[in-house]
Formats: sequence, structure tokens, C-alpha cells
Amino acid sequence: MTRNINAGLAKFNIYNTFVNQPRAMALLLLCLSFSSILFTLTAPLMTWVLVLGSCAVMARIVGLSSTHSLPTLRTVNLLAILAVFALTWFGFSIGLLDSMINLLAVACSLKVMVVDKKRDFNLLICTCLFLIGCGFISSLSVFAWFGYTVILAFLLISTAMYHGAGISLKKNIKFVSILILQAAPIALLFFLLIPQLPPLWQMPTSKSTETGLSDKVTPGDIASLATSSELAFSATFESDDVIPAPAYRYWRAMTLEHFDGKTWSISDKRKQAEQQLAIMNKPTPLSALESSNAGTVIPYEIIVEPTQQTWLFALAPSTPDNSTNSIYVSGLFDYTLRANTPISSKKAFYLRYFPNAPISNSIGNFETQLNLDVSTNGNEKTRAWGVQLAQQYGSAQEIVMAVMTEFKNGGFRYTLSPNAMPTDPIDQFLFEERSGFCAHYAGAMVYTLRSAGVPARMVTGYQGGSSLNERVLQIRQYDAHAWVEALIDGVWLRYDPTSMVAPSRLTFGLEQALEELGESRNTNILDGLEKSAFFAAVQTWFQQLDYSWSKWVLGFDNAAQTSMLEDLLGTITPEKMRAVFLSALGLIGLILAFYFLPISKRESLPYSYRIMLKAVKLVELHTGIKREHKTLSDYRYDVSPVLNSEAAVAFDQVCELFERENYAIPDTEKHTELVMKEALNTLKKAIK
Amino acid sequence: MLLLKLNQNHIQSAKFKCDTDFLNLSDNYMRQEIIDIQQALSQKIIGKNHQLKLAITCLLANGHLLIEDLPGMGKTTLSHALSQVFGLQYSRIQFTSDLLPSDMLGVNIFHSHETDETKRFSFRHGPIFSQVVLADELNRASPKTQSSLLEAMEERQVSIDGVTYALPSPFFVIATQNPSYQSGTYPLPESQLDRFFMRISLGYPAWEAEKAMLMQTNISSPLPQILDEKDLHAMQNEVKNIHTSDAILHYVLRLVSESRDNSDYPNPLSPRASRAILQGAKAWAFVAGREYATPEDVQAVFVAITAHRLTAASHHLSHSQQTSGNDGEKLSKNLLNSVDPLAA
Amino acid sequence: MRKILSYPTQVIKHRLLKWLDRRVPASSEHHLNLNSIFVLPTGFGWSFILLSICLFLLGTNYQNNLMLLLSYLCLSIMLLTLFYTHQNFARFAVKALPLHSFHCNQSGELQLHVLPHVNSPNKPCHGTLTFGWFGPHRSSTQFHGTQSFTQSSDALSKTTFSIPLSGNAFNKNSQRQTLSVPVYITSRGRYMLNRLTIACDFPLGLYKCWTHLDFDQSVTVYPQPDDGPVSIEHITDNEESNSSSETSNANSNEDFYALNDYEPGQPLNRVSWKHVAKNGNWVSKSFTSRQSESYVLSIDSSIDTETAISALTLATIKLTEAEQNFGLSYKGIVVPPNKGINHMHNCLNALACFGKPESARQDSQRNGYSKIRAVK
Repeated sequence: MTRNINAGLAKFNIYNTFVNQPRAMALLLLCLSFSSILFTLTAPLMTWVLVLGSCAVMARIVGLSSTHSLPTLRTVNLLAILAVFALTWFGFSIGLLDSMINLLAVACSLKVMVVDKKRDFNLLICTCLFLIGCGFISSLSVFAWFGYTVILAFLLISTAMYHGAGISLKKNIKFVSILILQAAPIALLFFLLIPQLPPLWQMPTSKSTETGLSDKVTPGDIASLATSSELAFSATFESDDVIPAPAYRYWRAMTLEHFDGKTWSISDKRKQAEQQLAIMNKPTPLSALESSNAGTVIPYEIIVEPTQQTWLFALAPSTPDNSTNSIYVSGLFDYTLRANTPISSKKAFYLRYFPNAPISNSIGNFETQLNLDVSTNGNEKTRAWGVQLAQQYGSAQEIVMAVMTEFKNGGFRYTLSPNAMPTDPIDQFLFEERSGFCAHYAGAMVYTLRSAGVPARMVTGYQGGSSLNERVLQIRQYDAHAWVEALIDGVWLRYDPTSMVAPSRLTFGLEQALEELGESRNTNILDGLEKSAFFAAVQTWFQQLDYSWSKWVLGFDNAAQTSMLEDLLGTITPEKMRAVFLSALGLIGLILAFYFLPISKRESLPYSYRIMLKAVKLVELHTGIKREHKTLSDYRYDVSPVLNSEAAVAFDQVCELFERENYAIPDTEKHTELVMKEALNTLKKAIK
Repeated sequence: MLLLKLNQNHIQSAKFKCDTDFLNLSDNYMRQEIIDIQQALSQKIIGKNHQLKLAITCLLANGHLLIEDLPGMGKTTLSHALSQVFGLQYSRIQFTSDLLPSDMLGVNIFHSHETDETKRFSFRHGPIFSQVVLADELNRASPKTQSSLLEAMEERQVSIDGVTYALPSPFFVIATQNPSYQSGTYPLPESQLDRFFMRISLGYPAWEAEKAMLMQTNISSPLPQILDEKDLHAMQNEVKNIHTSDAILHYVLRLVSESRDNSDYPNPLSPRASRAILQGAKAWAFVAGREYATPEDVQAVFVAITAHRLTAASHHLSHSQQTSGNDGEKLSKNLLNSVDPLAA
Repeated sequence: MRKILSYPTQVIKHRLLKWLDRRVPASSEHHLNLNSIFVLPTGFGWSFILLSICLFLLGTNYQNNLMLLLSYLCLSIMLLTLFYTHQNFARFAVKALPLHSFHCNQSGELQLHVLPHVNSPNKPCHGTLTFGWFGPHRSSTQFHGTQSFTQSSDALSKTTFSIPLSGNAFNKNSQRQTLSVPVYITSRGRYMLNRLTIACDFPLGLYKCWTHLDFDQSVTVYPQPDDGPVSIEHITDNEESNSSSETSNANSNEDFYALNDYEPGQPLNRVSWKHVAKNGNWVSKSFTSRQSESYVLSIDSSIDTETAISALTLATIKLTEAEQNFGLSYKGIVVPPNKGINHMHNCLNALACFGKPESARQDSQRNGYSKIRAVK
């Protein structure tokens, strides 16, 4: 930020020296845009690239006032060779996409220093435009769009300055604003009507941008998520009656069935099993659920923020509605959902929730065995407790209840900042610390149940969600949660040990729970502000805006396009599509005609002129005598023999009134307009 | 020579035809005084109502009149009649090539026969010190004399030997000019033509008019005085107060700027010309008995006011162009036709 | 080998010129319109389109609607700029002033007046215009055909010139802009100027609007002046002076000879003021000097033609500067003695067209006279 201000001051000082040279002005604007683009790309760009870029911009701006201070071509070539070496060196660590962006930025920076001919300038403009496109990979908010549009405008103004010999900056700004405003409706029309294609090929994704849940849980991970209030996804239901109560909003993401004593992860065995089952083409339980008529169905839509990963969140059990999804979603045998490609931008998915359907044991004995596997690596006390529980209680149900009761009454405490538990974490948690958060509780419970011979697994996802409006729930990263599923009588049942310790976590969300427990999620100076009504209103407004942006712009996909067209046209047939495209072309033609055909300026005429011209036109049409450049009295003299007496009188009246209105001393009392209009009407009648 | 005359005749009759066009509309209503004056004048000049009206307009607008015509068309008669009707003092200067400025303006005379005490210079007023001056055949005089007259016209005062003498008021010069292609003439340069408010040509009278003229018996009887100096002043003041709306000013401006923008007009109209057009329109509106000027008023006076200003200086034109004549009038009419009076 | 390759391109170019002659007929004044303007994207324009396509692919592959929107916005801007570029260039109107003769290997200037366009008198054309000649100038002393292109190809100048338009609105006060386009021809003779290519990429440089205009201008390129062994013969022509003097004036050593139309630049004391006063027609008197000395320039016919003509050219210019009466006599050229600027132009015209077909030469001389009058 300070860099930009400094640069700005330096620019201001020498502003006057070249404000009159259009090319220098164009270069200055280009530098300004380039530095803004660099500023927005701080995440993917490496520090040395940023430094190189800002140095190049500074050198260029100083070089505008005095020609000698620019680096020579040899220096720039040397820099280029060095940069290529550096890029190849770092390229392996930052991934393909980021190295491409870095390469572009480096090329741009080097070119900025030696921009000389028109060709160089045009190349720079194109590269900058492409960099803006790259910027959209990571920044998707409405503000990013707005900011980048402003930068685009600056680039265009700079181009206009460069090519428009000596047109003033003000005129160019006006021209470019008009151009962008004119282009916007056409672009929108393209956007709405050009078919949205599926991805043509797999693109490299940025490594650093993987966000959200990870597929491994070492207690502590979810706590780091809890400090983030970023949006994870939002869910839209058809009406507010079908939204589940807060305590039932469990968004299932993945099942973690393997435990190595410290870390819970997705079991390799399950992965293999899934692959084999997929090859065998066995129908997944979700597809079976789809075909059976299992009670109520609640369709809903989730808009997922980019995670660069494939798993999705759903109320369990939910089936994907793949006929409308732009990315194919497959259901797995543990009732979780996976997208076919990583989610690299905000995407909408359409799902159907079956609230009454159970999560059944789908692969028979395999799942039971997998989830009875107790790691013998440490945690002996817990295992012993598990064995003791198995002996004490007869049924699995009772064992589960016993564990839950223990959490409730055993003096456990909910906290987001527990002490580190490096060795035998479960033993330490259960018998010493007795304080932790969801992952600790869920981990401990699963381990205990498995020791007691009850198949159990850890499930991660999100729990809760605040309502943005009556139909929309927003789920943020701090809603990340872990809970337990136990297999009892062939059905996986959900148990949430955290609810025993902090019941408000379920019903009112994390923030409320933490408040009751005397903790806060983050220590932010804006805390006080957040509580004021005004700030809350503004925040809600922004959330609403962001949601609408996500739903209507970012989430606009093939399905939305088809449904929009269907709303307009009914069922889509090839003939109709042809008509749509023809009318789109016609519409664009119409817009262009509207912009470029000369518009008559009659609207700006005074009232008396309009009436007089109407009257003259009427008479011209009726008599066939054109007025051309005659005065009114001459024209009256010409046409009065041809008109009937009534019309002649009316026309005379119009002319006299017009004359009095426009040439005589202004008279405020008379309402000539009305009289003129009457006379015009009389004339119309008389001529007919 | 015969051929030339014939040609001229043709032009004059064409001009007359166009005059009648103007008479159709514009003369339907006039102030009573003006009607009286016009009737009185038309006893002397028969069948030239439009020109008479223009001449009256010119006088009311406090401008000078240039009459360009062949000898014997009634130029002198017109100016004399005007002075009689308005009750103004009249003098006539016949311009010849040897006329000196002092002959016109006056000289300081040394009274040598008086006694020593009273020996002195006294100024003897020249013929220019009268209210109506007829400068006959102005283009016969040398440029020096011409310019001294024109200076007096513009300044309305005369300086001789360092003493300034004011000219009487009203001061109205009617200059006559023979068509410039006649031999022995010094054509007026365009800068000086610009100082004349209006140029009119009387032209040959129509058949009936000339017959009526021939039948007249009391040719030499003087005309009755209808107005006096005070009345004229009052009327001139009223002309000044005629209302001109923005629409009229814009019309005049459009006309003037068209002459400047379009390359068809070699001598674009000067600001003095645009002021004259407005002044003329006001006077015409007054003559028509209206309190405000309309585009018709502008059109009525436009040709008379601008034709001589739009004409290219004569020596820029070839002989053939000059004899085709009246190109100023043609230009002026073109200009009038190319601008829409009703455009907003 | 090169000739074989260049032949088809010449045929194509010839066809193109024929087509252009029909589409954009020759005239000294051009108001550009739909017929005479050609538009194509520039290199920058193509790269802009390529960029839009890249952004589209990127946006599709990342399923990123914002990138798609950006790509569509770029495309729309491209589309709109097409109209803006055309609209701007279609406001360009230009009139060629008659071209002055110049010596070969020196640069002549075609002067173009920028006019208000008939269709948009209030809005001017903006931007930087690029001028270039569309191929070599046609030598009008040769018959039309492909050979004229090959033979006068040395007259081809491929350089282009850029002139920014002042872009002032055509209001009352602003001066109309005059553009000077250099004309460079290396050999003497009479030429029809080729089509002038005028291009403009206003406002964003995405498109190039251009037109090939034939201003219907011909020019005589005088030989290059050079030193040479010119022999100057002194002749006394009493006979001629006696016969021409009709009114003899004993006091004056000059005899009144004739009345001519006055041309600007002639001394004012030659003006016949009597005539001017009489009818306003400016005429100048010309006199014959009884003692006037006349020379005839000639050169040994054994000397190489071009060298001889160059030498005669220099001599002609020098004698005119010295206000001498002289004539020319070299091989076929015979110009009777006379003096003055007009005479010099006659001599130079004769020299320039020497050795060209007879009919063409007369034609060019006649044109030369009419042109000089027009220049006045």
C-alpha cells in the first residue's frame, strides 16, 4: 500500500512535465494500471517479481521526464536471462499456473522499461489484459470485478491516448467510459446466450489456494479453520419450511476411517474398494436411493467457494442432480459426494436431500471390519476403558449412551485452544486434559467405541449455518465440525459428542458457544464494531450482495442458462435455438444502430416549435407544398388558397401564436401552449 | 453599346418583377404616417413603392443610402422628395473627378479686407452641412474626395484644420452611383461600400407607371411637408425600442455565419453588416406597425442591406462577370434561401 | 526468376487498380464514404481477438464466469471500435491543391486541404493519418499497360508519412489544416500521380481504416539542373522588333507591345491603370525593348542526352534569374526567345518531355499551360 502511495507522489511531482505529451501520458497510465495489477496479484506472484515490477514501473516513470535514466537494452536483456533462471528455479515449487503468471509479470516488467515502438506498447496492453484475466482465477468477488473493470478502463484510456493524436485526457476518459458502457450490454448478451461449455481440458491449479477442510484431521486442524470467517458455501432452499432446524444442519463432507494413533484420514482400503466397485459398475447406495421413493425429498442448491478440491458438502443423505450440474458429481459408498474436477471457481450444485432415508451399511462386512480397526499404537487407557464398557453394557446402543454420558458428566470443557497433546493424544485428552474441541471429542469417542467393539467412524464437514435470508443459509469456515457415526443394526447413526459438552454449539453456532464459555474465536479490534447495528446492517447488505453475485453471475452455468431459456421459450427445440441466436444477432445490431445512427434532436426544441413544426408537416402532407426555407407568412400565403377555410384559419392561428411566442415581447399571462395545441387539433380535424 | 443597353434593360425588368413579389405580402399593413409619406413620395416616383419604403426604412434606421442606377432614373428626385416630406434641409453635391474635399466640407477663409483687428480666418461651411445630402455620382470623384465624404458619414462630424464641426442631426446621405462599368468612374472599395446602410436600384418604371408619369402635369410643384425634425427623431427612437427576441438574433447570426462558413461568398458579412440587418429589420417592423421584429422583416430588408456588401470587389472579377451584374443580389438571395428562418 | 514471380502480382495489382477506378473514381476532392473506405483489424486488433479467445478458453477451463465476461467485454469493445473507427474516418474530406512542378530527385509536395465533410460538417476526423503512395506514379507519356509499372518503378517511393490531424472542429475561427505529402520522382517527364493511400487507426488502434484516393493530379517533373558545356549564341533581331512596334515613342526605350491579363507578381508599374479604372479589369502592358538582346541556348548534340538536358535546365533557370531574353534550340526542341517565369516553365516543360512520344508531348505542353494558369 505504502509503495503505491510513494509511487503516486513521485508521479504527481513530475506530472506537470509531460501532461501535454500524449504518449508519455499513455505510458504513465499504462504503468499505473500495471502496478495496480501487480498489487492485486500479490498472492500468486513471488516477492522478487513484485520488486522487479515496481522497480520497472519506477524506472519508467522517472524515464518519462529525462530520457537518459532508462536502463539500456543490454541491462534489460541481462535481467531477462537472470529472471528466466530464477523462474525455472522456483517454478517447481510454486506449480505450473503460478509460474505462468510470474512469467507474464516478469515479461511485462522488463518490457515496461524498454517500451519504445507502437508494437511494444500494444504487446504490453495485451499482456496486462491477460494478467487481469489471471487475476480472476483467485479473486471472484464483485469488488474484484469492479476493480479490474476500472483497471481495464485505464488500459483503454492509455491506448486511446497513445493512438489518438493530441486528444485531451478528459475527452479520452469520456470516450472510454462511453465505450465500456456501450460494450456492457453486448457483453451481457453474449454471456447470456453463448452456450456455457464444460471444461475442455484439465488446467493446472494453484497449489496455495487449496482451502477448507483437509482430508486428514490431526486434532488442531479444525481449530485453525475456526479462526476464519470466510464463506465456505451457501445453500439455497425452495422455501423456509424445508430448511432443517439448526441442530440438524450437518453438512457431511467425508468420512475418516483410518487412525494411526494421531491422525484421522480417509482409509486407503476404502479408496481401493471404491475403485474396485466403480470398475464392477455396482450401483452406489445413493443411486439406489434416487430410484426408490424414500419419503420426502427436499431439493436444494449449494454454491461452493473455490476449494481446489473435489469433495462436496451435503445434508446426509443427499443425491446429486446431475442433469443440471455443470460438473458431474458422483456419490460414493459412504454416502459422500465428489465432484469430477477440483472446484476452481464458485460453482453451483443441485442436490436432493432425503431426510428420512437412513445411511445404511452399503458394502456389508467390509465397512464393519474397517471401522473396528483399533490402532494399537498407544492410547492404552482408552482401549482398556472401551473393553470395560463392552463388558459392562450389552448392546451397542448402551455403550454409545455411556460414552456420551461420560462426556456430559465427566467434567469436560469445550475450548478452541486446548493444550498440545503430542503423545497418546486420546488418553491424554480423556483422562488428563478433559478440554478440547469437536475433533478431540469425536476422535476420542470413535476410538472408545471401536475399542468396545462398536464400528464407528469420524465424519468431518460443517455444522450449522446462519441464514442470510429466509431461503439461504451461509456456512462459514468456522462452522467446520467433526462428529461420529456408529454402525448399529446395519445403519450408520450420527452421534455428536460435542453437543454433550457445549449444547449451544449446535443450536446457536460456534460464536454463541464460545461466548458462553468465555472465549472468543479471534481477537480483533473490530469486535466492538461488529456488534453495532449499523455495521451489522452493512455486513448483511454486503453478504446479500455477495450471495446474489455468486448466484447470478458466478453460478450462472449451463443449467441456469437452459432454465432461463426455458422460462422464456418453453421447451427448447433446435428451431427455437436458431431463432434465439438470430434474434440475439438482431438485438446486437439494434444496439449498434441505437449507438451509431444519428438521433434527431427535435426533443430539445421548445414546445411552440414542436407544435408549429407538426402543423407545418400536416399542411405539407396535405397540400404537397414544401415549406423549405420560407418564412411562415410566405408559406401561409402559398398554401392558403389550397386549404379549406377552417384549416386555413387554424393554421393562421398556429402561425400567429408561434410568432407572438417567439418574436414578440414575452407575455407571462397568456397560456399560448394550450391555445396552440387547440389550434393544432382544429387543424388536424379540418384537414381530415 | 446597343447590346449592352438591351442587356441592362432586361435586368432592370427582372428586378422590377422581383420587387412586386415583395409587395405582395409586406405592404398589407403600415403605420398611417408612413402611408402618408409613401403616398406623397409616390407622386414623384411612380410605381416604386417597395423602393420608397426601403428608403424610408433606411432613414428611420439612421443609415445612409446608396442608389445605384443609370442616369435619369429619378435618383435626385427621390432624395429631394424625401427631404421635402420630412421637412429637412437639403443640399446636393455633384461629384466630378476634379472635386476636392474642401469643396464639399468647407474651407477657412482669410478675411483680408477687414481692419487689422478683425483680420481673421472664418470657416465657411461646405454643402455637406445639411440634413439631407445628395452625393450625386459619387464614383466619379477621386478616391480622396470619396473617402472624406465617407469619413464624415461614419463620424457624423468634420475636422478641418484641427477644429471639429458637428454635422446637423439627422444627417442622411443619399449617394448615387452609376454602374461601375461606365467609363470615367472610380468604383468604391468594399470597405467603403460597407458604410452604406442600404443599396437600392430604382430601375425602369413599369409601362403603366411611366404612362401615369407622362400624364402628370404639375411635375415641378413641391411636396407638402408631412413630418418635422422632431417627429423623425421620435420615430427613430421608437425604432430603437422595437423588441428583437432571441429567435430573431439567432436568425441574423445564422445568416451571417453562413456567409462566413460557406466559400461561395467571397466577401463575408461583417459585424457592421449584422448590426445593420438587425437595425433594418427593426425599422421595417416599425414601418409595418409592429412592436417586434419577425423573420419576414429581416427578409424584406436583407437583400437591400447585404447585396452591396457581398459583391466581390469589382477588380477581382473579370469583365464578363461584371456585366452579368447584380451578382451581389444573387448571392444575397442565395444566402437568404439557404438559411431556414424557423430553425431553432 | 524474380521477374517471373513478380508478373502475376503485377496483373493482380493492375486488376485492383481497374476495380478501384470504378469504385473510387478520380477527383480532386474526396468525401469518404462507405464505398471508399476499407477496414481490417491491425496486428494489435488481431492480437486483441486472440487475447479474447485465450481468455474464453481459460474461462471455460476454469469454469470462471468472470473471465468469460472479460473475454466477451473485450470482444464487444472490438466490435464497437470497428464502428467508431469507421465513423471517425468517414468524416474525413480532403481536397487536393494543384501540384507545382519540381525537379527530379527533389521532393515535390502534394498539398491537401482538410475540409468539413458534407455529412458531418461539425465533427472533424481525429487521429494520426498515415500516407503512402499506392505503387509508382504513372508516366502519362507512355501508353497504359503493364510496362509503365516496370519502367517507372524507380519513381516508386515506399516510405510512408504520418501526420496528426489537428482535430479542431470546423468552427468559424479555426484555420483549416493543410497536409503536405511529399512526392518523390527520380526521372524527368510528365506523370499522373498514383493513388494515395491514406490510413487511420483512431481511436484505439485496433482497426486500420484506409482508402486509396486518386486526386487526378498530373505533374511535370523537370530535369535535374546540372553544370554542362552550354553554348549561348547572341542574336540581334531588329526585324522582329521593328515589325512588332506599332506605336513608336521617341522618349521611351521600350515600346508598347501588347496587353495581357495581369498576373500577381508582375511589377505594378506595368499595370495599365487606365484600363483598371475604366472597367476594373486588371491588365498589364508588355513592352518590347528595341535594344533587347536575345540569346539562344544550345548544346553540342554529341553529348549524352540526359547530361545535355540537365545542363540546359540549369542555364534556363540562371538566365531567367538574370531576366534575360533567351530561346532554346536542341535537337527537336525549338523555343523562340522570350523572358519571364512563364517562359521558363515552357522551356523546362519542353526539356522535361524531350524524347517522349510526340503526341504525348504536345498534350503535356498544353496541359502545362492550363495548369500554370490554374496555379495562378
